[in-house]
Amino acid sequence: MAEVRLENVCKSFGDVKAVDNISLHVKDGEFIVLLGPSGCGKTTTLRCVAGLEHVDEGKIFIDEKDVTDLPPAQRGLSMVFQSYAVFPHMTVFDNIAFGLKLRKTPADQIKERVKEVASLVQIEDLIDRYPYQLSGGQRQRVALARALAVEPKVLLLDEPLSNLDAALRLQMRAELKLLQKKSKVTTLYVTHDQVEAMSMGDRIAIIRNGSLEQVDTPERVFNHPENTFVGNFIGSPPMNMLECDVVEGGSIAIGNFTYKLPESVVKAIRKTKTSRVILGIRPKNITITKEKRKNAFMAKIGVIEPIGEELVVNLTVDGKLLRVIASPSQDLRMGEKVWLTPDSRKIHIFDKKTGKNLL
Amino acid sequence: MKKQEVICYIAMVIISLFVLVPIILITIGTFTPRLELYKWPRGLIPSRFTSDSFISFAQSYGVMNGLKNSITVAVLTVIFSLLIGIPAGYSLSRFKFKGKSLFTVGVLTTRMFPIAILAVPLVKIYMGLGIYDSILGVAFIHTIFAFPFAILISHSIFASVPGELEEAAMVLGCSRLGAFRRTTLPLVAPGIAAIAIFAFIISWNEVFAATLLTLHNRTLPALIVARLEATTLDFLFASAFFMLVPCLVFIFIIRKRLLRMWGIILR
Amino acid sequence: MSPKRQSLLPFFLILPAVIFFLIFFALPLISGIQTAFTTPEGELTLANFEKIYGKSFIKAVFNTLSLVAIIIPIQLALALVIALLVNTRLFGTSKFLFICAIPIALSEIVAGIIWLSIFTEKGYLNVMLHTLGFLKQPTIYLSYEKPATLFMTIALTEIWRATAIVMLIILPGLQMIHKDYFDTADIFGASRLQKLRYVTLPMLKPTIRTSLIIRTVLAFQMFAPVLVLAGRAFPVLASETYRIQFFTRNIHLAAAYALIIMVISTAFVLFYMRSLRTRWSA
Repeated sequence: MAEVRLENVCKSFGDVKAVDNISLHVKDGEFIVLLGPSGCGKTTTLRCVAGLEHVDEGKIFIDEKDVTDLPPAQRGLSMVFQSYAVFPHMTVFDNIAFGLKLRKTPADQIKERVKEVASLVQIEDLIDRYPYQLSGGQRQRVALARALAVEPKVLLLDEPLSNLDAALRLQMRAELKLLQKKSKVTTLYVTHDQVEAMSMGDRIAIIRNGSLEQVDTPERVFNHPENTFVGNFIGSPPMNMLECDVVEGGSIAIGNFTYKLPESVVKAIRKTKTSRVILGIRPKNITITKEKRKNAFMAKIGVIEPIGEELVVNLTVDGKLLRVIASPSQDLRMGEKVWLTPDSRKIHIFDKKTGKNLL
Repeated sequence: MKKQEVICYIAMVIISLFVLVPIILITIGTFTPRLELYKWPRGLIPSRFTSDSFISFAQSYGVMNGLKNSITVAVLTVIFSLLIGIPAGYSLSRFKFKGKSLFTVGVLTTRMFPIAILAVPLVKIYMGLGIYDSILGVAFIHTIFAFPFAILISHSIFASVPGELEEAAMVLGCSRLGAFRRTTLPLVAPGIAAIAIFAFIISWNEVFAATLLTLHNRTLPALIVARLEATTLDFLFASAFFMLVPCLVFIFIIRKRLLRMWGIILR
Repeated sequence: MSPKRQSLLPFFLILPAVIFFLIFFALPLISGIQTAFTTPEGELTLANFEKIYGKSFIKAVFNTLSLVAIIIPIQLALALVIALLVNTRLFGTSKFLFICAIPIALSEIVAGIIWLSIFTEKGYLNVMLHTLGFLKQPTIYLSYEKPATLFMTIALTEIWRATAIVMLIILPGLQMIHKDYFDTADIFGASRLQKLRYVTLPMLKPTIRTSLIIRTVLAFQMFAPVLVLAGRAFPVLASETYRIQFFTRNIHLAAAYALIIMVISTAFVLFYMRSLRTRWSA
């Protein structure tokens, strides 16, 4: 078992900075998810850890050992690829045994170990088949078994579930997490799917344009986004972002209305002396009422999208779009004017200039 | 069967006959007694089938030597094309590097030139190098015919084997070369065999350059060209049949890959 | 795997190809141009071109170009028909494809001899015509007195031999056209011919261009069928180059001839590139 430490890692392809000064400390046995939109550099980061890409700058440590210049084979890690990369010309057994054979493990031990991991991922019946005889989910398990067979210090997973259908993805998500908890192997997991990240990661590292935006537990990432990008990226529908001016007396202006902020928030804004902020509030944390309330502002209802138990109500406030999750029991109609009350304990205030969360 | 299908089948039969009948005729001609070829009137089917022409062709002066030369040149062409083409094809499929597109354009321009014509200036260069009228010299120019094909085809074969397989092998403990040997190589072996056959056929069939670049060490096609004006029909028929058979066998072996290989070359 | 070594590996791998290309392609090309413009003594001259310019040169150019003009359109049309037939995917089309592809493996000289066995005086054409009762005495086809017949037999041989090359370029191009385009045309009620005219042919344009380039270039080095069927009675550029090289032993004249072939064939390539350009693909 091992820690992984990245120190100021940089990697460019031509003019494109794929990884831009990333430092990250993955603790022993931790399951960390690298999350970000496609092309953000998360996979490149993973490949740098694997040694498949050589970093331009910075260092990578596995268990306090500098592996920056070591080839992948000598880093003591395993990787599951997005396409699984199961060798088509080998049986399931030979695939799983591949790494063990390279380590010159005695044949009987290989057999035993293959059996062990095969049963761990529930493919013991498929051991003599060739990959073309397997379904996508089964290939995925083979790739996983192959990676686990060598008892790696670190397990790297590159979007391993993205090629599976929705139902299987859900099942594998739970299995993977359980497997990781059992084996306690330090795991770096790359995905662009925030639900996957939230449900699996001990911590989530959110990456944008090659830089880390926030590294935190799923709960912290959701409830305390450090900046507008994280706030926007996590959660579905995304957090509402309203640009507003700060007005005298601890309020902000939303169209023709003023919204009074709690005292703690006002203090935080004062410290930065900024005059233009972004109010962030999740769709769940706004209440819609038909009659006027204190500290509420008016909005006009646009399209209403039913999503099962709830409604996503699109509203416009001062020409800007807002989404609110409401209950179908509320009798809301398109074109209606209603009052919105944000939950003042759940609001976020971001600096307009830097995008940083001020709270 | 619909009317359109009937038309399609009729067209297919006519075209097939157009291709096949001449091949059947040369086969009949090869096994017709020599004198009957010059008789008139004569029938389509000879009075008896005999391998006399064939045997006398094989025994005529220079033929066995020509055969040996042809095979040696073709084998050398295969080896050179693979040695030059495979690394280049691999490089194109696995790496991004400066000058890659320039290199590809360079490879493609070779097919925009009547390369055989280069044999003319090569005569002079070969004389300077001391490889005029040598097996090696012919093999070199045949390699110029074959290696762009080898590069383009192997490029696409390698591209069809995901690089992630090699990476997975490297992560699991292989060196770069070991990963290539254990994952990519076994998967591309049949494709490379097809390239080899292709290079062999190109060399085995080539006439112009081989004729120009040799005097005594003639390959089979060059030998036939040199003898054209002083030979008999039975010699020619037997020679054509003799050269035809290995090609038919080879094309049968690679028939499944033929389309894909050409599809690659055109892009 | 240091970063430096890794970045040099791709160059290292193409190095043999580059060296080979320079020695056996670029060098002869340059040396050929130089040889064509110099005397055996090494002086710069145009005399080589003046010497080869004459009746047989004009004939060779004329013959070569007329062969190109006749063979290539017919081959293109035939190749397209074969490709369309293969693409119907009726039962047996894969065998049909294999049969049509056979000539690609045949040498020019083999093709020449095969058709010689048909067109020679006591060859299979006369034998069949005789058997069917159309003629009593054999007709002579391959004679210098009948240039038109010679031309036709050579053209037929080339069509038989090299249509496969064109077809094997066209067919993959045809199969790359997505079925959705044809379905779309169907929805708008296009007939078979309209689909060919408005969907297939325009989308095949880049492929057709490639096949024309490859085929035309090959036509300029065509040589063996001409020698087998016509001997010297039907000079073409490549066979004249061979004759000069072998019978005058003047490499400067031969190089001048070779250079002319290069120039004409390059002119054709450029013409195709310009005239068959498409806006939506390279």
